[in-house]
Amino acid sequence: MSRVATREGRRALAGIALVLAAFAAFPWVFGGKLNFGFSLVLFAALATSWDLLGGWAGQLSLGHTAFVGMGAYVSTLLWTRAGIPFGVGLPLAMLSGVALALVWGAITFRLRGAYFSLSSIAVAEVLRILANNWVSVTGGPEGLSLNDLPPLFGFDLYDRRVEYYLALLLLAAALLTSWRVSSSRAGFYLEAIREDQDSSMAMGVNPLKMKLAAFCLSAALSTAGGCLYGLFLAYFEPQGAFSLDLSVQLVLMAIVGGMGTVFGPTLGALVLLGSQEAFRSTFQQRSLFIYGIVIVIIVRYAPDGLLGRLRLLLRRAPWASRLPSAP
Amino acid sequence: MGIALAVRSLSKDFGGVHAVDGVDFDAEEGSVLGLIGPNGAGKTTLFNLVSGYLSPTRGRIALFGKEVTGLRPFALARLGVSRTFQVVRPFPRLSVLENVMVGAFLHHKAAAEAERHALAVLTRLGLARQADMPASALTLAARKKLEIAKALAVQPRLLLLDEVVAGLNPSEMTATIELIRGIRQSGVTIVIVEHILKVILGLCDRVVVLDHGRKIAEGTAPEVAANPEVISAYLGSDDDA
Repeated sequence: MSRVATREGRRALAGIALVLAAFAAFPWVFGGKLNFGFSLVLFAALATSWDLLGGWAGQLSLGHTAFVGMGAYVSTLLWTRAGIPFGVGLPLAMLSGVALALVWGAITFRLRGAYFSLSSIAVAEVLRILANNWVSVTGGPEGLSLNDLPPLFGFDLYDRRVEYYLALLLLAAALLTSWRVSSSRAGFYLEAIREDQDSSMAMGVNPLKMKLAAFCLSAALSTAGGCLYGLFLAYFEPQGAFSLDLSVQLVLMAIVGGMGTVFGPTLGALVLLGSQEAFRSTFQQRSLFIYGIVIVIIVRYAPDGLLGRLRLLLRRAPWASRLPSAP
Repeated sequence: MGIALAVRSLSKDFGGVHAVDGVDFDAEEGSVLGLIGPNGAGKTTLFNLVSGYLSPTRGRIALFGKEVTGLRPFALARLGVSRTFQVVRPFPRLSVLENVMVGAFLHHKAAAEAERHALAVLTRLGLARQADMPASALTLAARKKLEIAKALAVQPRLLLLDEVVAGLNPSEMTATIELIRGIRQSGVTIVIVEHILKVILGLCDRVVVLDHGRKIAEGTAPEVAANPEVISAYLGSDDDA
Protein backbone atom coordinates (compact mmCIF):
# COMPACT_ATOMS: atom_id res chain seq x y z
CA MET A 1 0.00 0.00 0.00
CA SER A 2 2.88 2.36 0.53
CA ARG A 3 3.19 4.85 -2.24
CA VAL A 4 6.91 4.35 -2.58
CA ALA A 5 6.40 0.81 -3.78
CA THR A 6 7.62 1.06 -7.34
CA ARG A 7 4.44 -0.62 -8.58
CA GLU A 8 2.26 2.22 -7.32
CA GLY A 9 4.76 4.79 -8.58
CA ARG A 10 4.55 3.31 -12.06
CA ARG A 11 0.78 3.17 -11.90
CA ALA A 12 0.69 6.90 -11.12
CA LEU A 13 3.03 7.58 -14.03
CA ALA A 14 0.75 5.60 -16.33
CA GLY A 15 -2.14 7.66 -14.97
CA ILE A 16 -0.34 10.87 -15.88
CA ALA A 17 0.24 9.58 -19.42
CA LEU A 18 -3.45 8.71 -19.68
CA VAL A 19 -4.62 12.12 -18.46
CA LEU A 20 -2.27 13.91 -20.85
CA ALA A 21 -3.33 11.73 -23.78
CA ALA A 22 -7.00 12.45 -23.07
CA PHE A 23 -6.33 16.19 -22.96
CA ALA A 24 -4.21 15.96 -26.12
CA ALA A 25 -7.21 14.54 -27.96
CA PHE A 26 -9.51 17.34 -26.76
CA PRO A 27 -9.04 19.75 -29.70
CA TRP A 28 -10.02 17.01 -32.17
CA VAL A 29 -13.18 16.12 -30.27
CA PHE A 30 -14.29 19.57 -29.09
CA GLY A 31 -12.63 21.77 -31.70
CA GLY A 32 -15.14 24.56 -31.08
CA LYS A 33 -14.52 24.68 -27.36
CA LEU A 34 -10.82 25.53 -27.39
CA ASN A 35 -11.24 28.56 -25.14
CA PHE A 36 -12.84 26.39 -22.50
CA GLY A 37 -10.21 23.69 -23.07
CA PHE A 38 -7.38 26.16 -22.59
CA SER A 39 -8.85 27.45 -19.31
CA LEU A 40 -9.35 23.89 -18.11
CA VAL A 41 -5.80 22.77 -18.82
CA LEU A 42 -4.22 26.01 -17.60
CA PHE A 43 -6.19 25.96 -14.35
CA ALA A 44 -5.42 22.29 -13.81
CA ALA A 45 -1.72 23.15 -14.17
CA LEU A 46 -2.00 26.18 -11.87
CA ALA A 47 -3.96 24.26 -9.23
CA THR A 48 -1.41 21.41 -9.34
CA SER A 49 1.39 23.96 -8.89
CA TRP A 50 -0.49 25.61 -6.01
CA ASP A 51 -0.88 22.22 -4.38
CA LEU A 52 2.90 21.67 -4.19
CA LEU A 53 2.95 24.30 -1.47
CA GLY A 54 -0.67 24.22 -0.29
CA GLY A 55 -1.46 20.52 -0.31
CA TRP A 56 1.92 18.90 0.30
CA ALA A 57 3.50 21.43 2.63
CA GLY A 58 0.18 22.66 4.07
CA GLN A 59 0.98 26.32 3.47
CA LEU A 60 -2.31 27.68 2.16
CA SER A 61 -1.41 30.56 -0.12
CA LEU A 62 -4.24 32.88 -1.09
CA GLY A 63 -1.89 34.96 -3.19
CA HIS A 64 -0.88 32.74 -6.09
CA THR A 65 -2.49 35.23 -8.45
CA ALA A 66 0.70 37.22 -7.77
CA PHE A 67 2.68 34.73 -9.86
CA VAL A 68 0.06 34.60 -12.59
CA GLY A 69 0.01 38.39 -12.89
CA MET A 70 3.77 38.56 -12.66
CA GLY A 71 4.15 36.04 -15.49
CA ALA A 72 1.72 37.92 -17.72
CA TYR A 73 3.30 41.30 -17.00
CA VAL A 74 6.98 40.28 -17.14
CA SER A 75 6.73 38.27 -20.36
CA THR A 76 4.68 41.01 -22.03
CA LEU A 77 6.89 43.88 -20.88
CA LEU A 78 10.04 42.03 -21.92
CA TRP A 79 8.60 41.83 -25.44
CA THR A 80 7.00 45.26 -25.75
CA ARG A 81 9.78 47.21 -23.99
CA ALA A 82 12.92 45.20 -24.66
CA GLY A 83 12.06 43.15 -27.72
CA ILE A 84 12.78 39.88 -25.93
CA PRO A 85 10.65 37.20 -27.62
CA PHE A 86 8.24 34.96 -25.72
CA GLY A 87 10.50 31.88 -25.86
CA VAL A 88 13.18 33.74 -23.87
CA GLY A 89 10.78 35.90 -21.88
CA LEU A 90 9.02 32.88 -20.38
CA PRO A 91 12.06 31.39 -18.60
CA LEU A 92 13.10 34.89 -17.50
CA ALA A 93 9.62 35.46 -16.06
CA MET A 94 9.87 32.10 -14.27
CA LEU A 95 13.12 33.26 -12.69
CA SER A 96 11.45 36.45 -11.52
CA GLY A 97 8.67 34.34 -10.00
CA VAL A 98 11.23 32.25 -8.12
CA ALA A 99 12.96 35.40 -6.88
CA LEU A 100 9.63 36.73 -5.63
CA ALA A 101 8.91 33.41 -3.87
CA LEU A 102 12.31 33.45 -2.14
CA VAL A 103 11.83 36.94 -0.73
CA TRP A 104 8.15 36.37 0.07
CA GLY A 105 8.82 33.00 1.73
CA ALA A 106 11.86 34.14 3.69
CA ILE A 107 9.71 36.83 5.29
CA THR A 108 6.36 35.07 5.75
CA PHE A 109 7.26 31.42 6.41
CA ARG A 110 8.08 32.44 9.95
CA LEU A 111 4.34 32.95 10.31
CA ARG A 112 2.25 29.88 10.89
CA GLY A 113 -1.18 28.75 9.80
CA ALA A 114 -3.71 31.43 8.95
CA TYR A 115 -1.12 34.19 9.28
CA PHE A 116 0.77 32.92 6.25
CA SER A 117 -2.48 32.80 4.24
CA LEU A 118 -3.41 36.35 5.24
CA SER A 119 0.03 37.70 4.41
CA SER A 120 -0.14 36.02 1.00
CA ILE A 121 -3.25 38.05 0.13
CA ALA A 122 -1.27 41.16 1.05
CA VAL A 123 1.63 40.29 -1.27
CA ALA A 124 -0.71 39.84 -4.24
CA GLU A 125 -2.49 43.10 -3.40
CA VAL A 126 0.79 44.99 -3.22
CA LEU A 127 1.71 43.75 -6.70
CA ARG A 128 -1.73 44.69 -8.05
CA ILE A 129 -1.45 48.19 -6.64
CA LEU A 130 2.07 48.46 -8.03
CA ALA A 131 0.87 47.43 -11.50
CA ASN A 132 -1.99 49.88 -11.21
CA ASN A 133 0.11 52.88 -10.20
CA TRP A 134 3.52 52.47 -11.80
CA VAL A 135 2.02 53.79 -15.00
CA SER A 136 5.29 54.55 -16.81
CA VAL A 137 6.29 50.87 -16.76
CA THR A 138 3.08 48.85 -16.51
CA GLY A 139 0.69 51.09 -18.36
CA GLY A 140 -1.36 51.44 -15.18
CA PRO A 141 -5.10 50.68 -15.07
CA GLU A 142 -5.34 50.80 -18.86
CA GLY A 143 -3.47 47.53 -19.00
CA LEU A 144 -1.17 45.98 -21.58
CA SER A 145 -1.56 44.36 -24.97
CA LEU A 146 0.65 41.58 -26.20
CA ASN A 147 0.74 42.13 -29.97
CA ASP A 148 2.91 41.14 -32.91
CA LEU A 149 4.77 38.27 -31.24
CA PRO A 150 6.91 36.41 -33.77
CA PRO A 151 6.22 32.68 -34.19
CA LEU A 152 7.90 30.35 -31.67
CA PHE A 153 9.77 27.56 -33.49
CA GLY A 154 7.50 28.20 -36.46
CA PHE A 155 4.28 28.03 -34.41
CA ASP A 156 1.89 30.97 -34.48
CA LEU A 157 1.51 32.02 -30.82
CA TYR A 158 -1.92 33.52 -31.49
CA ASP A 159 -3.28 30.21 -32.73
CA ARG A 160 -5.60 28.82 -29.99
CA ARG A 161 -4.43 25.31 -30.78
CA VAL A 162 -0.79 26.26 -30.16
CA GLU A 163 -1.74 28.00 -26.92
CA TYR A 164 -3.71 24.95 -25.85
CA TYR A 165 -0.77 22.61 -26.36
CA LEU A 166 1.59 25.00 -24.57
CA ALA A 167 -0.77 24.85 -21.59
CA LEU A 168 -0.81 21.07 -21.88
CA LEU A 169 3.01 21.04 -21.76
CA LEU A 170 2.79 23.04 -18.55
CA LEU A 171 0.25 20.61 -17.10
CA ALA A 172 2.62 17.76 -17.97
CA ALA A 173 5.45 19.55 -16.16
CA ALA A 174 3.25 20.22 -13.11
CA LEU A 175 1.95 16.65 -12.88
CA LEU A 176 5.42 15.16 -13.29
CA THR A 177 6.82 17.50 -10.63
CA SER A 178 4.02 16.56 -8.27
CA TRP A 179 4.57 12.85 -8.99
CA ARG A 180 8.29 13.19 -8.40
CA VAL A 181 7.63 14.93 -5.08
CA SER A 182 5.05 12.35 -4.03
CA SER A 183 7.49 9.47 -4.22
CA SER A 184 10.60 11.12 -2.82
CA ARG A 185 12.10 12.28 0.42
CA ALA A 186 10.99 15.85 -0.30
CA GLY A 187 7.34 14.78 -0.35
CA PHE A 188 7.62 13.01 3.00
CA TYR A 189 9.38 16.00 4.52
CA LEU A 190 6.73 18.41 3.24
CA GLU A 191 3.93 16.24 4.59
CA ALA A 192 5.70 15.94 7.93
CA ILE A 193 5.91 19.75 8.10
CA ARG A 194 2.21 20.00 7.25
CA GLU A 195 1.23 17.47 9.91
CA ASP A 196 3.47 18.68 12.74
CA GLN A 197 6.28 21.11 12.07
CA ASP A 198 7.87 20.82 15.53
CA SER A 199 7.90 17.06 15.48
CA SER A 200 9.39 17.05 11.97
CA MET A 201 12.37 19.13 13.14
CA ALA A 202 13.31 16.45 15.66
CA MET A 203 13.63 14.03 12.74
CA GLY A 204 16.10 16.17 10.82
CA VAL A 205 13.70 18.23 8.70
CA ASN A 206 14.61 21.88 8.14
CA PRO A 207 11.12 23.39 7.67
CA LEU A 208 12.14 26.78 6.28
CA LYS A 209 14.41 25.22 3.67
CA MET A 210 11.82 22.66 2.56
CA LYS A 211 8.99 25.19 2.40
CA LEU A 212 11.15 27.55 0.35
CA ALA A 213 12.03 24.76 -2.06
CA ALA A 214 8.35 23.85 -2.52
CA PHE A 215 7.45 27.51 -2.92
CA CYS A 216 10.11 28.02 -5.62
CA LEU A 217 8.86 25.03 -7.62
CA SER A 218 5.28 26.19 -7.24
CA ALA A 219 6.25 29.75 -8.21
CA ALA A 220 8.21 28.73 -11.31
CA LEU A 221 5.28 26.69 -12.66
CA SER A 222 2.65 29.28 -11.69
CA THR A 223 4.59 32.12 -13.31
CA ALA A 224 4.93 30.09 -16.50
CA GLY A 225 1.14 29.66 -16.32
CA GLY A 226 0.83 33.43 -16.01
CA CYS A 227 2.88 33.92 -19.18
CA LEU A 228 0.51 31.61 -21.06
CA TYR A 229 -2.50 33.36 -19.55
CA GLY A 230 -1.19 36.72 -20.79
CA LEU A 231 -0.65 35.20 -24.22
CA PHE A 232 -4.17 33.76 -24.23
CA LEU A 233 -5.79 37.03 -23.14
CA ALA A 234 -3.51 39.18 -25.35
CA TYR A 235 -4.89 42.13 -23.40
CA PHE A 236 -5.07 42.38 -19.62
CA GLU A 237 -5.11 44.95 -16.82
CA PRO A 238 -4.05 44.82 -13.14
CA GLN A 239 -7.54 44.11 -11.79
CA GLY A 240 -7.83 40.92 -13.83
CA ALA A 241 -4.22 39.76 -13.77
CA PHE A 242 -3.89 40.05 -9.99
CA SER A 243 -7.42 39.10 -8.96
CA LEU A 244 -8.06 37.49 -5.58
CA ASP A 245 -10.79 35.43 -7.26
CA LEU A 246 -8.18 33.57 -9.26
CA SER A 247 -6.22 32.68 -6.11
CA VAL A 248 -9.37 31.43 -4.41
CA GLN A 249 -10.37 29.39 -7.46
CA LEU A 250 -7.06 27.52 -7.43
CA VAL A 251 -7.48 26.71 -3.75
CA LEU A 252 -11.05 25.46 -4.31
CA MET A 253 -9.95 23.20 -7.18
CA ALA A 254 -7.30 21.57 -5.00
CA ILE A 255 -9.73 21.16 -2.08
CA VAL A 256 -12.49 19.73 -4.26
CA GLY A 257 -10.20 17.27 -6.05
CA GLY A 258 -7.99 16.39 -3.10
CA MET A 259 -5.05 18.29 -1.62
CA GLY A 260 -1.62 16.71 -1.46
CA THR A 261 -2.35 14.28 -4.28
CA VAL A 262 -0.96 14.14 -7.82
CA PHE A 263 -4.32 14.06 -9.65
CA GLY A 264 -6.61 15.86 -7.18
CA PRO A 265 -6.16 19.45 -8.43
CA THR A 266 -6.66 18.38 -12.06
CA LEU A 267 -9.84 16.53 -11.10
CA GLY A 268 -11.00 19.59 -9.14
CA ALA A 269 -10.41 21.87 -12.14
CA LEU A 270 -12.36 19.46 -14.33
CA VAL A 271 -15.32 19.27 -11.94
CA LEU A 272 -15.54 22.98 -11.12
CA LEU A 273 -14.88 24.43 -14.57
CA GLY A 274 -16.82 21.58 -16.20
CA SER A 275 -19.94 22.16 -14.11
CA GLN A 276 -19.68 25.89 -14.66
CA GLU A 277 -19.43 25.37 -18.42
CA ALA A 278 -22.21 22.77 -18.55
CA PHE A 279 -24.70 25.03 -16.82
CA ARG A 280 -23.59 28.25 -18.47
CA SER A 281 -26.21 28.09 -21.22
CA THR A 282 -29.07 26.90 -19.02
CA PHE A 283 -28.44 29.15 -16.06
CA GLN A 284 -26.45 31.96 -17.67
CA GLN A 285 -25.48 34.37 -14.90
CA ARG A 286 -26.53 31.83 -12.30
CA SER A 287 -23.72 29.43 -13.26
CA LEU A 288 -21.77 30.72 -10.28
CA PHE A 289 -24.67 29.54 -8.15
CA ILE A 290 -24.12 25.99 -9.48
CA TYR A 291 -20.43 26.38 -8.70
CA GLY A 292 -21.32 27.13 -5.09
CA ILE A 293 -23.68 24.16 -4.82
CA VAL A 294 -21.02 21.78 -6.18
CA ILE A 295 -18.55 23.00 -3.57
CA VAL A 296 -21.06 22.61 -0.73
CA ILE A 297 -21.93 19.05 -1.80
CA ILE A 298 -18.30 18.03 -2.08
CA VAL A 299 -17.21 19.54 1.21
CA ARG A 300 -20.18 17.83 2.88
CA TYR A 301 -19.78 14.35 1.35
CA ALA A 302 -16.10 14.17 0.42
CA PRO A 303 -14.20 16.38 2.87
CA ASP A 304 -10.87 14.87 1.79
CA GLY A 305 -11.64 15.67 -1.84
CA LEU A 306 -13.16 13.64 -4.64
CA LEU A 307 -10.03 11.57 -5.21
CA GLY A 308 -10.08 10.18 -1.67
CA ARG A 309 -13.81 9.44 -2.01
CA LEU A 310 -13.29 7.63 -5.31
CA ARG A 311 -10.53 5.47 -3.82
CA LEU A 312 -12.82 4.51 -0.95
CA LEU A 313 -15.63 3.56 -3.34
CA LEU A 314 -13.26 1.48 -5.47
CA ARG A 315 -12.06 -0.40 -2.42
CA ARG A 316 -15.63 -1.21 -1.40
CA ALA A 317 -16.78 -2.25 -4.87
CA PRO A 318 -17.79 -5.92 -5.32
CA TRP A 319 -14.78 -6.67 -7.50
CA ALA A 320 -12.43 -4.90 -5.10
CA SER A 321 -11.29 -8.17 -3.53
CA ARG A 322 -9.27 -8.78 -6.65
CA LEU A 323 -7.35 -5.57 -6.13
CA PRO A 324 -4.18 -5.85 -4.09
CA SER A 325 -5.13 -4.77 -0.60
CA ALA A 326 -3.27 -3.79 2.52
CA PRO A 327 -1.72 -6.72 4.39
CA MET B 1 34.08 5.48 27.56
CA GLY B 2 33.69 9.12 26.59
CA ILE B 3 31.07 11.64 27.51
CA ALA B 4 28.07 11.67 25.18
CA LEU B 5 26.39 14.74 26.59
CA ALA B 6 27.99 17.43 28.74
CA VAL B 7 25.83 20.21 30.13
CA ARG B 8 27.54 23.16 31.86
CA SER B 9 25.83 25.85 33.96
CA LEU B 10 22.88 25.63 31.63
CA SER B 11 20.19 28.23 32.33
CA LYS B 12 16.95 29.33 30.77
CA ASP B 13 14.94 32.32 31.93
CA PHE B 14 11.38 33.01 30.88
CA GLY B 15 10.93 36.63 31.86
CA GLY B 16 11.80 36.62 35.55
CA VAL B 17 11.36 32.86 35.98
CA HIS B 18 14.50 30.73 36.13
CA ALA B 19 13.06 27.59 34.52
CA VAL B 20 16.51 25.99 34.39
CA ASP B 21 19.16 27.50 36.60
CA GLY B 22 22.85 26.63 36.32
CA VAL B 23 22.53 22.91 35.74
CA ASP B 24 25.63 20.73 35.21
CA PHE B 25 25.75 17.05 34.36
CA ASP B 26 27.43 14.50 32.13
CA ALA B 27 25.89 11.51 30.42
CA GLU B 28 28.48 8.82 29.80
CA GLU B 29 28.48 7.14 26.43
CA GLY B 30 26.30 4.04 26.43
CA SER B 31 24.69 4.80 29.78
CA VAL B 32 21.15 5.61 30.84
CA LEU B 33 20.75 8.86 32.73
CA GLY B 34 17.51 9.52 34.58
CA LEU B 35 16.12 13.02 35.00
CA ILE B 36 13.59 13.33 37.80
CA GLY B 37 11.95 16.02 39.86
CA PRO B 38 8.55 17.27 40.94
CA ASN B 39 6.18 18.90 38.44
CA GLY B 40 7.56 22.22 37.28
CA ALA B 41 11.13 21.30 38.18
CA GLY B 42 12.37 22.20 34.69
CA LYS B 43 12.76 18.73 33.17
CA THR B 44 10.89 19.51 29.99
CA THR B 45 12.66 22.85 29.57
CA LEU B 46 15.98 21.05 29.98
CA PHE B 47 14.93 18.55 27.28
CA ASN B 48 13.94 21.38 24.98
CA LEU B 49 17.35 23.02 25.53
CA VAL B 50 19.33 19.85 24.88
CA SER B 51 17.28 19.00 21.75
CA GLY B 52 17.56 22.52 20.33
CA TYR B 53 13.93 23.62 20.68
CA LEU B 54 14.99 26.40 23.04
CA SER B 55 18.29 28.21 23.13
CA PRO B 56 19.79 28.71 26.56
CA THR B 57 20.04 32.07 28.30
CA ARG B 58 23.43 31.00 29.67
CA GLY B 59 25.58 27.92 29.70
CA ARG B 60 26.84 25.35 27.22
CA ILE B 61 25.98 22.00 25.76
CA ALA B 62 28.54 19.63 24.23
CA LEU B 63 27.80 16.48 22.28
CA PHE B 64 30.55 13.86 22.08
CA GLY B 65 33.06 16.58 22.89
CA LYS B 66 31.72 18.99 20.29
CA GLU B 67 30.13 22.30 21.24
CA VAL B 68 26.51 22.36 20.02
CA THR B 69 24.98 25.20 22.06
CA GLY B 70 22.28 27.01 20.10
CA LEU B 71 22.01 24.55 17.22
CA ARG B 72 18.49 23.99 15.86
CA PRO B 73 16.74 20.62 16.30
CA PHE B 74 17.28 19.46 12.70
CA ALA B 75 20.99 20.23 12.89
CA LEU B 76 21.25 18.28 16.15
CA ALA B 77 19.33 15.39 14.58
CA ARG B 78 22.05 15.16 11.94
CA LEU B 79 24.63 15.01 14.74
CA GLY B 80 22.80 12.09 16.32
CA VAL B 81 20.36 13.62 18.81
CA SER B 82 16.81 12.34 18.76
CA ARG B 83 13.88 12.86 21.10
CA THR B 84 10.34 11.86 21.89
CA PHE B 85 7.62 14.23 23.07
CA GLN B 86 5.75 13.79 26.33
CA VAL B 87 2.51 14.52 24.51
CA VAL B 88 2.97 12.13 21.60
CA ARG B 89 3.12 13.80 18.20
CA PRO B 90 2.50 11.39 15.35
CA PHE B 91 1.89 12.79 11.87
CA PRO B 92 -1.82 11.91 12.05
CA ARG B 93 -2.72 11.57 8.38
CA LEU B 94 0.37 9.58 7.43
CA SER B 95 0.46 5.83 7.88
CA VAL B 96 2.52 4.33 10.70
CA LEU B 97 5.15 3.27 8.18
CA GLU B 98 5.27 6.71 6.57
CA ASN B 99 5.66 8.32 10.00
CA VAL B 100 8.78 6.27 10.63
CA MET B 101 10.06 6.74 7.08
CA VAL B 102 10.30 10.49 7.66
CA GLY B 103 13.01 9.74 10.21
CA ALA B 104 14.60 6.99 8.13
CA PHE B 105 15.15 9.44 5.28
CA LEU B 106 17.81 11.22 7.35
CA HIS B 107 20.34 8.50 6.56
CA HIS B 108 18.65 6.75 3.63
CA LYS B 109 17.99 9.12 0.74
CA ALA B 110 16.29 6.63 -1.57
CA ALA B 111 12.64 5.94 -0.77
CA ALA B 112 12.95 2.16 -1.09
CA GLU B 113 15.92 2.14 1.31
CA ALA B 114 14.11 4.36 3.80
CA GLU B 115 11.08 2.11 3.62
CA ARG B 116 13.16 -0.99 4.31
CA HIS B 117 14.85 0.65 7.29
CA ALA B 118 11.52 1.95 8.65
CA LEU B 119 9.99 -1.52 8.39
CA ALA B 120 12.93 -2.96 10.32
CA VAL B 121 12.37 -0.42 13.10
CA LEU B 122 8.64 -1.20 13.19
CA THR B 123 9.35 -4.92 13.39
CA ARG B 124 11.74 -4.35 16.28
CA LEU B 125 9.02 -2.45 18.15
CA GLY B 126 6.26 -4.91 17.32
CA LEU B 127 4.37 -2.39 15.19
CA ALA B 128 4.85 -4.06 11.81
CA ARG B 129 1.25 -5.28 11.65
CA GLN B 130 -0.04 -1.72 12.01
CA ALA B 131 2.34 -0.38 9.33
CA ASP B 132 -0.40 0.67 6.93
CA MET B 133 -2.80 2.10 9.49
CA PRO B 134 -3.12 5.87 9.74
CA ALA B 135 -1.24 7.00 12.84
CA SER B 136 -4.37 8.69 14.16
CA ALA B 137 -6.08 5.27 14.47
CA LEU B 138 -3.55 3.82 16.95
CA THR B 139 -4.21 3.21 20.66
CA LEU B 140 -2.28 5.32 23.18
CA ALA B 141 0.14 2.47 23.91
CA ALA B 142 0.82 1.99 20.20
CA ARG B 143 1.22 5.75 19.71
CA LYS B 144 3.82 5.80 22.47
CA LYS B 145 5.66 3.01 20.69
CA LEU B 146 5.39 4.90 17.41
CA GLU B 147 6.94 7.91 19.14
CA ILE B 148 9.95 5.76 20.05
CA ALA B 149 10.03 4.25 16.55
CA LYS B 150 10.14 7.72 14.97
CA ALA B 151 13.01 8.70 17.27
CA LEU B 152 14.92 5.48 16.53
CA ALA B 153 14.47 5.77 12.77
CA VAL B 154 16.99 8.62 12.61
CA GLN B 155 19.60 6.24 14.08
CA PRO B 156 20.49 8.42 17.08
CA ARG B 157 23.59 8.24 19.23
CA LEU B 158 21.83 10.16 22.00
CA LEU B 159 18.16 9.43 22.63
CA LEU B 160 16.04 11.70 24.83
CA LEU B 161 12.92 9.93 26.12
CA ASP B 162 10.23 12.11 27.70
CA GLU B 163 7.83 10.01 29.82
CA VAL B 164 7.45 7.16 27.35
CA VAL B 165 6.30 4.75 30.07
CA ALA B 166 3.74 6.89 31.89
CA GLY B 167 0.18 5.95 30.99
CA LEU B 168 0.96 2.36 30.00
CA ASN B 169 -0.52 -0.71 31.72
CA PRO B 170 1.86 -2.97 33.69
CA SER B 171 2.57 -5.46 30.91
CA GLU B 172 3.13 -2.73 28.33
CA MET B 173 5.35 -1.01 30.88
CA THR B 174 7.53 -4.09 31.30
CA ALA B 175 7.77 -4.47 27.53
CA THR B 176 8.82 -0.85 27.08
CA ILE B 177 11.47 -1.13 29.81
CA GLU B 178 12.85 -4.20 28.02
CA LEU B 179 12.82 -2.26 24.77
CA ILE B 180 14.79 0.64 26.29
CA ARG B 181 17.32 -1.87 27.69
CA GLY B 182 17.70 -3.28 24.21
CA ILE B 183 18.27 0.19 22.72
CA ARG B 184 20.92 0.88 25.35
CA GLN B 185 22.64 -2.41 24.61
CA SER B 186 22.92 -1.41 20.96
CA GLY B 187 25.21 1.41 22.16
CA VAL B 188 22.82 4.36 22.25
CA THR B 189 23.16 6.80 25.14
CA ILE B 190 19.80 7.51 26.76
CA VAL B 191 18.51 10.39 28.86
CA ILE B 192 15.09 9.64 30.27
CA VAL B 193 12.52 11.75 32.11
CA GLU B 194 10.15 9.59 34.09
CA HIS B 195 8.02 9.77 37.21
CA ILE B 196 7.66 6.05 37.79
CA LEU B 197 10.22 4.87 40.36
CA LYS B 198 10.27 1.31 39.00
CA VAL B 199 11.49 2.62 35.65
CA ILE B 200 14.16 4.82 37.18
CA LEU B 201 15.43 2.06 39.51
CA GLY B 202 15.32 -0.57 36.79
CA LEU B 203 16.99 1.37 34.00
CA CYS B 204 19.19 4.24 35.10
CA ASP B 205 22.90 4.12 35.81
CA ARG B 206 22.78 7.59 37.24
CA VAL B 207 20.00 9.96 38.22
CA VAL B 208 19.93 13.77 38.23
CA VAL B 209 17.29 15.39 40.42
CA LEU B 210 15.92 18.83 39.56
CA ASP B 211 13.84 21.11 41.73
CA HIS B 212 12.83 24.67 40.85
CA GLY B 213 15.24 24.58 37.91
CA ARG B 214 18.27 23.63 40.04
CA LYS B 215 20.10 20.34 40.33
CA ILE B 216 19.63 19.25 43.96
CA ALA B 217 21.15 15.77 43.78
CA GLU B 218 22.96 13.34 41.54
CA GLY B 219 23.99 9.72 41.98
CA THR B 220 22.85 6.15 41.52
CA ALA B 221 19.13 5.57 41.82
CA PRO B 222 19.26 4.11 45.39
CA GLU B 223 21.56 6.94 46.56
CA VAL B 224 19.25 9.57 45.20
CA ALA B 225 16.15 7.88 46.60
CA ALA B 226 17.70 8.01 50.09
CA ASN B 227 18.79 11.65 49.82
CA PRO B 228 16.87 13.78 52.36
CA GLU B 229 16.84 16.82 50.05
CA VAL B 230 15.21 14.77 47.32
CA ILE B 231 12.63 13.41 49.72
CA SER B 232 11.77 16.89 50.94
CA ALA B 233 11.53 18.19 47.36
CA TYR B 234 8.92 15.56 46.60
CA LEU B 235 7.10 15.43 49.92
CA GLY B 236 7.83 18.86 51.38
CA SER B 237 10.00 19.26 54.51
CA ASP B 238 8.87 19.96 58.06
CA ASP B 239 9.99 23.59 57.59
CA ASP B 240 7.44 24.09 54.85
CA ALA B 241 4.60 23.03 57.09
